Amino acid sequence: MAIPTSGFTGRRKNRDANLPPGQYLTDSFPVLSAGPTPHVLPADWTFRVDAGPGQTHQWNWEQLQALPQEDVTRDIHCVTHWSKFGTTWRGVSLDTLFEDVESEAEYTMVHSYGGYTTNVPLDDLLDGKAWIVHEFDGEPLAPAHGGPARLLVPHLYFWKSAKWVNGIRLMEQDLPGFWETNGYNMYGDPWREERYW
Amino acid sequence: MMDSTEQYPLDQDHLDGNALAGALDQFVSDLTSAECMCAGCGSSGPLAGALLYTRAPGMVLRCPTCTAVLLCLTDQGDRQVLTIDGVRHLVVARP
Ligand SMILES: [Zn+2]
Repeated sequence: MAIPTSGFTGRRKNRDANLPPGQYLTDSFPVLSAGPTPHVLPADWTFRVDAGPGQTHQWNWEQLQALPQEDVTRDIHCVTHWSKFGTTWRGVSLDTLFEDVESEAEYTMVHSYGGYTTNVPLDDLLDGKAWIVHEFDGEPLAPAHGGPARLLVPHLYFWKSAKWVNGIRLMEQDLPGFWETNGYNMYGDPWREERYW
Repeated sequence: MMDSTEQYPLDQDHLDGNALAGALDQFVSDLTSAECMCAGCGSSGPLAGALLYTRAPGMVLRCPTCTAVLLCLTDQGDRQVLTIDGVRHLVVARP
């Protein structure tokens, strides 16, 4: 009887431990899109944090690039059951972008060019958990993958990592975004398999 | 034709939703031929002429004029969810 080497089972165990329930592993990067791809030039791109009247913070492309950049490697999990390990991104931590934002609000609505929205609790965007990324795999982020910039919040299902991001609005109560209105979970933790309502 | 012979309970001014079933048959049996008005821009056309995006966590139908979402159909495994808030009205011809 063939006995697997300990090295093989070790890697296998490690791989399975990193795969949330109901997910399969893929090496490709499927492009999911619920609408036409917006083609936004970096020169026209802006990103704003709206924390209420008189509390709007805005960055253009040049200003985003001038902020401290981080290289992050994370596993990502799509609600359509694929997961991809070790994806590499470059961008700005939301801790940096929220440095001067003062608010009591606990929830946010993420907005994108093209009208897409998704809700994420503020705590899930801070403390090194989320970034505005503009490079994937060492290359500028392609429009099909959300370029020029997308949100990356990899500990939640990937529909929360809004492509073509252009703003985050703080909210006092948790309201549903696009997929959350259309059958998907308000929070979306892949480890608890929070796919649907 | 709506069924005007429906018997109302004596103490009620309405029926329950079951009574709608027959009246909606035409919409259910041939929805894609229905004329649909977009709630966003007000343009009209057959649902079959709208733009359907399926490489997504659900099926998203968009207005061919303004690309606003007309309706969205998602699959929760044991349930399907249809949202239609982008549709102002649907019109079907009698057979
Ligand atoms: Zn329209």
